[in-house]
Amino acid sequence: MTALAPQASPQTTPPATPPATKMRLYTEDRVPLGSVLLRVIAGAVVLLIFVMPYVIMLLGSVKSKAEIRSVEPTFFPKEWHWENYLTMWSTPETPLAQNLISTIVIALGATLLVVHVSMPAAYYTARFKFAGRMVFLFLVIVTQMLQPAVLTSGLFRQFLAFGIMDTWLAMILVNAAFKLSFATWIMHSFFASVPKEVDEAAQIDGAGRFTVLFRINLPLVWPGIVTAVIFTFVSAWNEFAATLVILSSAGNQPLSVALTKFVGQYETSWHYVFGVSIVAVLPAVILFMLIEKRLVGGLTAGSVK
Amino acid sequence: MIVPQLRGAIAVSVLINIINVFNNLPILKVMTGSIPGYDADTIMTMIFKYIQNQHKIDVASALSVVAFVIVTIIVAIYVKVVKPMQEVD
Repeated sequence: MTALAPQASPQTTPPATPPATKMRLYTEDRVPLGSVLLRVIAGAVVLLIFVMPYVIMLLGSVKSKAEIRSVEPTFFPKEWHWENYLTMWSTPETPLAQNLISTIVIALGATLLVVHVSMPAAYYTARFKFAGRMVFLFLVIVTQMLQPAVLTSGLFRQFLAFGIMDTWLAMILVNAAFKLSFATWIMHSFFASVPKEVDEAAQIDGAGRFTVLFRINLPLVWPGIVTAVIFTFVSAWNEFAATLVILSSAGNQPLSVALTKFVGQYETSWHYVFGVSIVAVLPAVILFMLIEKRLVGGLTAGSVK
Repeated sequence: MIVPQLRGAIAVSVLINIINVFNNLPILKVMTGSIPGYDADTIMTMIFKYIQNQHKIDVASALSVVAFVIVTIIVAIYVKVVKPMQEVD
C-alpha cells in the first residue's frame, strides 16, 4: 500500500549467493552516508504521515469506551482492552461475522466477473479493427463519469424491477459495473503493448483464437490483470454509497455499511468503529502483500526471457 | 526506456484518475463540509448541499448532468490530445 512506498534506503543488499564467490554490489557508485541519512529521515517523515491514521485507528480500537470519549483525549490507551476484538463480534448493532462473509462474497464475485468480462473485451478491442471501436471504448469510459451516489436511485428502481433488491447478486453486479471500465481500459493498453506478431507466430504454429489469448497473451499481460484485480477487489471491498441504498437487511450488508451502525443517534461506540475498521483494512492489505509478489514475479519473468 | 513502454498504462491511469477525482465526494465533504458558504465547494459537494440543506433535488439533478457534460468534454479533449488508445496496425 501507499504506506510502504517511501522506503528511501538505497539498494545495497548483495544477492543471496555463497560468501565464497566475491560479488560486487549492484550499484557501482557509493552514496555518501549523509545523503543516505537524509533520505532515510525524509522517508521516515513521509511514512509517519501515511501511517499515522492507521496507528490512531489501532490505538483507538483498544481503548475503553469511557476513555475514548474522555474530554482530555489520550494518545496511548491507559488500559489496553484487547477484548474489544472479541466482544465486537457479538454486539446488538450488527452481526459482524455475517457482514464479513458478505463483504468477501461481494468483493470476490465482483472481481471474478470483472476479470472474465473485461479481459476478452480488452483483447478484442486491442487486436481487431471494427466499426465503432473508439465509440465503444468511449462508451465504456462514460460509465465512470457519473458520481456513483447519483446513480443509486436509478439502480434502486432497476433492481426493484428485476426483483433482486437486497441480494448479494445485485451488489456484485453494481460493483463489477463500476470497475469494468477501468479494468477494460487498463488491460486494453497492456494487450495493445504486446506486438501483433506474437499472435501471428502462435497462429502459424497452429494455435486457435482461445489458445492465443490464454496461453500466449495472458502471461504477457499478467501485470495488467493483477492491476485490474487489485483495484476491483479493493473498490468493491470499500464500496459504500450504492451498498447503503440497495442492501437493507443487516445480515447482507458488508463491513463498510456495518461500520456506520456503531455511529448511533445518541452515542457512538468509537472503539468498535476503529476495531471494525482494522478488521476491514486487514484483508485488503494481506491481498496486496500476496499479490505484489506475483506482480513483481510476472514482470521479471517477462523481462529475463 | 521504461517510461515509453508504460505510456499506455500511464495515460489510462491518468484519465481514470481525472474522472475519479472530479467525482470525488467523501473526503472533500468531510474536510470542507463545515465551512459556511459555497466558496470551498466542488460541483459534487455543491450537489449534496443542494439536496441536504435546501432539498432542491431538481437543481441537484440538473447540476449532476452539467457535471457529467463537463467531464465528458474534459475526457474528449484528453483522448484527442494524448491518444491513450493506440490504433490497431
